Amino acid sequence: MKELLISLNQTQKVRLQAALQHLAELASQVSSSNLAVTVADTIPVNNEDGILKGHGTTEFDGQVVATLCGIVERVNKLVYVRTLRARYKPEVGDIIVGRVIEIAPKRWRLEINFSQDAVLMLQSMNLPDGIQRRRTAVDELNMRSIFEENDVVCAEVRGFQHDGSLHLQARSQKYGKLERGQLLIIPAYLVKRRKQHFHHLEQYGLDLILGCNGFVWIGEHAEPIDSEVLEDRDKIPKDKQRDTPLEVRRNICRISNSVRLLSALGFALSVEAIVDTAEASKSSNVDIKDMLGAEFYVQTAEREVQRRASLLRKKRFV
Amino acid sequence: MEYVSSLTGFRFDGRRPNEMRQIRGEIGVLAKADGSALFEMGNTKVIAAVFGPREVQNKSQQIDNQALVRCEYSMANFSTGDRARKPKGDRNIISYSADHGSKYINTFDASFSGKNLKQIDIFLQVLQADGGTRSACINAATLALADAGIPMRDIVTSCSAGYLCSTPLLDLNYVEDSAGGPDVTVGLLVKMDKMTLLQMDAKLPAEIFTDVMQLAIEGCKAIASYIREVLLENTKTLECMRGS
Amino acid sequence: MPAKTVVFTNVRKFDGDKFRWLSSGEYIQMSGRAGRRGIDQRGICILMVDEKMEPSTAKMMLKGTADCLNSAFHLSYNMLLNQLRCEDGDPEKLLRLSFYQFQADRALPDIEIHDSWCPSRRCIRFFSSIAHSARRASLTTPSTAASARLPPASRPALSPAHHPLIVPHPPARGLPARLRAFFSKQVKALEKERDSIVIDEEESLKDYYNLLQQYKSLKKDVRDIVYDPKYCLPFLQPGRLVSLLYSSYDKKSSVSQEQITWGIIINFQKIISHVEDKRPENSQYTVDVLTRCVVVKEAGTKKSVKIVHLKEQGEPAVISVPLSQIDSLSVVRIYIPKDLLPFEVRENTLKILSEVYSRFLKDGIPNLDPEEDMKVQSNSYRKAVRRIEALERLFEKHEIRNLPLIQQNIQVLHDKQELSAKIKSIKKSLRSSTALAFKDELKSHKRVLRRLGYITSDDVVEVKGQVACEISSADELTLTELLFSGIFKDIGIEEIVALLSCFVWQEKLQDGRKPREELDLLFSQLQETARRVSNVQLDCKVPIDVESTVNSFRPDIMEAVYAWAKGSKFFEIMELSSVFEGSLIRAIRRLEEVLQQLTCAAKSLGETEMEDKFQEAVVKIKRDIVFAASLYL
Repeated sequence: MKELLISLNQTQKVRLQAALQHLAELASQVSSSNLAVTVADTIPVNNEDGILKGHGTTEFDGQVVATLCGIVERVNKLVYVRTLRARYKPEVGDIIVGRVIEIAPKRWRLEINFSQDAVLMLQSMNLPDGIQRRRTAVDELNMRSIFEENDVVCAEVRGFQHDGSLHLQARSQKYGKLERGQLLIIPAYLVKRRKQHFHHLEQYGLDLILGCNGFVWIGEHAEPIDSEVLEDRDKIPKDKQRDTPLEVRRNICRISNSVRLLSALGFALSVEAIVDTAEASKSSNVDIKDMLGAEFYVQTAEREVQRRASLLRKKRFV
Repeated sequence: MEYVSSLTGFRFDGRRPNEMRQIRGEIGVLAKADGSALFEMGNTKVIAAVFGPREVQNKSQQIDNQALVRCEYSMANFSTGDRARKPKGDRNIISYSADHGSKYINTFDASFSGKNLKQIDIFLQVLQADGGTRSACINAATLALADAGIPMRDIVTSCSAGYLCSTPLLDLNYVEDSAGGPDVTVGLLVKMDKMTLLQMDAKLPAEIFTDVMQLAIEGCKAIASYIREVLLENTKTLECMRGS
Repeated sequence: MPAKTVVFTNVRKFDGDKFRWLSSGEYIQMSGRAGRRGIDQRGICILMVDEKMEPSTAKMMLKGTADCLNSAFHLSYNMLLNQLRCEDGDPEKLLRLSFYQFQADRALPDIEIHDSWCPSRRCIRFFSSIAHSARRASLTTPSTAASARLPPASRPALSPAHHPLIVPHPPARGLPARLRAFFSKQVKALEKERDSIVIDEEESLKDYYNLLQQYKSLKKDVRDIVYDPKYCLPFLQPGRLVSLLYSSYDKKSSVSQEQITWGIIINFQKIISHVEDKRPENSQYTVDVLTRCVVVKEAGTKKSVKIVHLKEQGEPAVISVPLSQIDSLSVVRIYIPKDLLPFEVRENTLKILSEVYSRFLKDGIPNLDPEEDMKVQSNSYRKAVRRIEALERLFEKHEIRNLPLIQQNIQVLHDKQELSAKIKSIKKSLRSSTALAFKDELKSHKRVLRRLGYITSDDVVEVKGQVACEISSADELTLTELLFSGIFKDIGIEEIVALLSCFVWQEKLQDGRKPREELDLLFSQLQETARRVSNVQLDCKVPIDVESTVNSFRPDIMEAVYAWAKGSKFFEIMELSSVFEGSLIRAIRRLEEVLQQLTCAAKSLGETEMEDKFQEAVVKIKRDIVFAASLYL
């Protein structure tokens, strides 16, 4: 709620309060087993032995003490604290979106909302002509033709280097430079790890990439490029390439506003939620710029309350 | 001057000698920072912003195998009674900055100072100064660091106490501070019960000093429980908004 | 390292089991290093043969092919988890493109339809025979499609029971698309045929047909009981008249039927079977019977003797028939001459037989009654006989019995049932053929992972799964469970190393010493965890054997590794256990690998203490001769 400074009038405030109240109630009904802790809180482990202390915990005076604010999670004997507002915590296999900040010898450095910059090696990137071969010095000199500074890139985490920085790879057709769209930065904890992070919204003709690091890309749909097609494309000079149509641009803005709205409210992002919000805005004829206004804000909160309530009911009956 | 009224025992602003000013803390006030907090002690308002852990910006400052903590403290021109000019050149301020940084290094989790070369920046801005700015800064920084999700071993809180009219007074405001009496500022690691900052100007006999210091420690503990509550509340709210 | 000359001092070797000749693969492997590239014009290989060797063996060794490469692909949990971790990791695609799948597809000639790819003669014959059966139904018009498909020329009469297109065997996994399309076309054709055969009063006919089938099967049961060697051996006396079943081929109706003819028992013999079944009652017998036969000369040089009816043309011959071919034993015995070699003698005997036959033609030759004469006393026999009687009564009452075309309709119904059976089996093989080699294993593995909490129900990898992704040199499930049970927390480094040695030691030691108390305790915890994991796997239908999996963890080298971690010298630890040095060294090296992987796993968990412990363990064991890169320097 810090990013959108919304001035609510009295009724809206009341409605919002009521909605938030409902959400709190629902949350307490769902799972009360997870304990919220702050720094230096003792985590109750009932004096079990062999407790594994994971991230966010330390030992003090024979007790397990939290070093972060968050929710305590337990897996068998492993106890760890899951933070909310912290920087992105990478895992191998995550899809991330980043921005190139530096071109170093044989690699690109990307900024990805992590404690260090991520490294994308030249070998981990497909060459523009698609041939698999050793990268030569000429390739190194032509790195700028693939990515420049401030380009937005989508890649996958391949592993960690010994100094803790991330190693990325972008070897498939889906990864690579992202063009013709918007990059949004939201708190990383709102993007849950799912099976799929690339989404192709057909009804809007858009690509939506929910990067696990909190960078969300919404752009015009780009077909995965074949190497033969690429040659033809290179021949067309840049200005003759067709512009994004107006309708698609409107859709991009609508979707990105719904992402902004959901992240401002603090709701976890998922494709369904984003598309629902966009649909709701369309059906209630809310203008794109009004989506970030007070009325729609409160409506979205109320809608979320209903959605979660119905989910809870479904779970109860199952 | 009667800082403590002999009749009622109240101070200037109607407080008892061992009463703290009203404190208020708010987390997440700045969108762009990794962690941010606004802390008010009475009329003193401080805003803190934390950036990090992130890549070391200036490689020359990097110390081998350790994380770098940078702290910048500044007072706004409008924060004091008179509109001050050129606050940056003030020697006090530079020393404040250095001190603040050092407070925190001890608290950061061991996993930090490893092979991971990181940098943490803490920016403190005093918006309104009414005595006890140092304490307010430390408290605000603690909140901001917790908000940023930087692992810390313990909560650092700070409070000041003084001795005027033969009474130990807790949490001096500007008027009491400029009275010329001793001003003891204590910074405490609450759970571990360890002190990181102890500072006094003027002179005090040893026993009285002990009392005053104890009072300040009590104040720290009270602030710590308040901070804890604020953080817990914030965590719970975020979690319940996020949903399952 | 190539050499100019390779000398084999021996052509036999001991492979741990027996002393055998070198195989061609080994020969190729070892002689292949003769001749240095770029330096020698040719390489020389000398084979010293010091014993007698068959030329065929030598030929096989020198000219044989290399050992064929068979895929030993197996689906492991670690592989599956790593695939699920990536967004576009598709385990099924991996399996489909694997070498194992490729080899399975190549093994398709098992299906016996290798020459049915394009419409060949066999195929044409198949379709024409369907058309035939459709025509024989004759009550409604056969489908025009069938007759349209019939090529004008060849119409060799082949009964539907002998369809040349045998149904594929189940081992066919993953048929290529062409074949699948072919099969589904077949299924459609057969279904069309079957549906086009329409019979009057099909329902009651089906009823009758079922009764008939039951009757036949009961009769067969009775026969089996009665003609068990136990009962009938005493009655197989020479000269007894016996009726035989034989299959005759009726050219007119193109049907092969079982007919009965009569013959005279000459002798009987026991077949010495090579099966190690010691029970005398189960041994097989053959009976030598004199009856009329026809000598048929088939393609090639083989002559075969076929039984024909007494009345038909043929010569009298003694033929051996198995006990199962005897239909009934008669009461009548005739006198047979001692010497049956001369043709006239045999002819005469057969003439006597036909005399007897014609004399009893009215009522049929009386048979031995099982209960009274042969003294068959079994309960099942009596039950079966009663059921047969009941069925016969039902037959009398059945209404359809008196329909004129009953026999024909029965036959048509029979064909229809056969067609349905064929359709079913082709469909089944189609279904199994579209499946991947490891598809079931994939499903059951995923189920196990979900049950144990390594992945969520949406196949997103959880914390436990992340840890298991790091471990590939040991049993990932058991080791992850052990890790999460906190067992590594409280024990010392040497104990950790000893416990992990159970994972890397796979050989069976006969007289392995039991390790000391504390280590044994740890080992039993390990076994418990392994048992729990195996039980979960069994629940999820993974075909494993719980006990053997639990017993595959062996504590034999726990003591030795413990001592090594404590700092003993190599010869000291060799005294502690009686294994080969090489095996022990290999185990310790694998142990170091496992420790490195565990360090990564602990790092991903955030457990710095354990990470340090594992690192320290690596330092402690990685020393001296065990990790020496080369023994010569």
